[in-house]
Amino acid sequence: MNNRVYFIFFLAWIGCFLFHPGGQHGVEAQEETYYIAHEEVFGKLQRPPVTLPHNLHMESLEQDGDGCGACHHLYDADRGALVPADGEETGCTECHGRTKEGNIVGLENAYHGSCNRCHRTRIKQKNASGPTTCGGCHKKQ
Amino acid sequence: MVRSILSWLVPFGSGTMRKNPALTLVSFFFHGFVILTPVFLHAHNVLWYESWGIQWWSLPEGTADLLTVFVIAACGFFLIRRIMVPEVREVTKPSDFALLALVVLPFVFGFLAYHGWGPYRPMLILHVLSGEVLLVVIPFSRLGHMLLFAFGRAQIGREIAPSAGVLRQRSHG
Repeated sequence: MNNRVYFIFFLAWIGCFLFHPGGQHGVEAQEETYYIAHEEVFGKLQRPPVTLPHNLHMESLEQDGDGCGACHHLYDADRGALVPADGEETGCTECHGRTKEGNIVGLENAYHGSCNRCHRTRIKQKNASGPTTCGGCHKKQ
Repeated sequence: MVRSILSWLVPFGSGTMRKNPALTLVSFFFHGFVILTPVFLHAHNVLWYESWGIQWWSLPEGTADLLTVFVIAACGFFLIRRIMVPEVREVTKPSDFALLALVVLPFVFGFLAYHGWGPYRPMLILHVLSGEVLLVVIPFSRLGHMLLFAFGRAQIGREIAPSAGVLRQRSHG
C-alpha cells in the first residue's frame, strides 16, 4: 500500500517536470523569469541567452510610477509614434524581426536599445538599475 | 617611392621579408588582425550603434576569438624574438617592451572578459582603460607607423632606390 502511494507521488513529481510551463518564449504567461534567446529569429546564438527577472522589473517600475508600457510599446500609425501598450502587451518578436524593416529596428538593437537605455537612465537618476555591460546580461550558464 | 610602399605591403614583396619567412607571415597577419578584430568586433559595433547610430559588418564571435588568440600569440612571438635574436636584442630599448605590452593588453583583457575568466567588471574596465591608453599613445610613439607608415617608407624608398638616385644625379648634373 505504502509503495503504491510513493509511486503515485513519484509519477506526480515526474509530471511536474514534463508538464511545467517552459516559458522559454512565453508571451501570455506571467513568468517570474524569462530566458531571452530567440533562436527562431537569430539562429545559432553567439552569446549566452539573457535572463530577464520579469517580476523584479514589474515591481521596480510600478514603485516609480511607471507601468508595463515602459518596455511594452505599440506603434500608433495615426500619431506616427510609439505608445505604451498598457493592457495590450505583446512580445518583442511580434513586430521586431532579425533585421531592420522600415521604421522597425531589428530585434537585437531593439533589446539593446530598450534595456541598456533604461538601465543607464536609471543609474543617472540614482534608481535601482540593471546591467549595462555585455557580460552583465549575457552570462555564461 | 610608390613601388617601395607597395612592395612592403605585400608579404615577401621586399628583400628583407624574404630573408625572414616566419617573421614575415606572423607580422603580416598580426598587422591585419590587430586592426580588423577591434574594428569589426560585434560587441564594439553594438557600442557604435548605441552612441552614434552607426553599424557595419561584424565578425562572427568565434572568428574574432581566434583572431584575438593569434594577435596575443604574435605578440608573444615578437617578445621572444626581441629577447632571443642577438641583432634584435642589440637595438631593443625598454620602451619597445612597453609598447608591445600596450598593444597586447587590450586584447588580453578583452579575451578574458569575453570568456568570463576572472572577475568580469574589473577585466572589462581594464580592457577599456588599456585600449584608451593605447589610442592616446599611438601618435606620440613608434606606434604612429599605423598612420605614418607610408610616409616613412616613401622617404626610405626614395633615399635608397637606385633609379631615384640616378634621376636625382641627372637632374642635378
